[in-house]
Amino acid sequence: MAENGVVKEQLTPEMIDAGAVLTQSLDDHGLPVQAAFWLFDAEINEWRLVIASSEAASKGPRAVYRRIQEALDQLGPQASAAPFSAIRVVEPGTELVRLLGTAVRTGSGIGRIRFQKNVINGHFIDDALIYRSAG
Amino acid sequence: MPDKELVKKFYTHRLDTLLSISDAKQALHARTEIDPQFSINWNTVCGWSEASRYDHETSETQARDMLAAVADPQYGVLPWLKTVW
Repeated sequence: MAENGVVKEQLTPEMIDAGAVLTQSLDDHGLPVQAAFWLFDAEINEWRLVIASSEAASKGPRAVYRRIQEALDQLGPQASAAPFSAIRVVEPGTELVRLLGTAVRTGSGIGRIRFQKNVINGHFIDDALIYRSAG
Repeated sequence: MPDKELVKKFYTHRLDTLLSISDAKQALHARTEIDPQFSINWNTVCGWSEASRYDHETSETQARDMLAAVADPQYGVLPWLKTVW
């Protein structure tokens, strides 16, 4: 149970698989993805799939969202547990991405690292599932 | 008497939080289901925070993206919001 009595939304195995499949697909399509992770947003009790791409800075977030939308369309049911509405595109230099990068460093592959109840430089990370944090 | 906890939730700039406590969530869902352009704009606008005002590294491309996401007459978030308030 969450502190305010609301049952915490769970990150399901289907969501975890879908996020990995989408990240792989973005790689295959040549989108530079420096970080990708599910992050629990306690304020709204929902999970967000955060994609950090340098193209968000160079071409704007809408161009990156367009490419993600295309990838999701192609993947169909394989990625249905990672709906477009749950995805947030950020720049790699975003504070959250930099913070996670100081605590967890991965290569350019796709891992599955659970990161829960941790404080990084004074910032509390409730729950995250990290596929990539390559900086 | 208004619910104190509910009232406290309004003290935020976050669009997704405000959406959750408004009656507009279903309307948003209905629109995003059928309109990919609008969905992109909604996600883009949700990337804004009040701290963005002090971010000196925002590029012109990003600023123009945000402006279009908010104000595009056909697919923008603000024209849609005006239909549901």
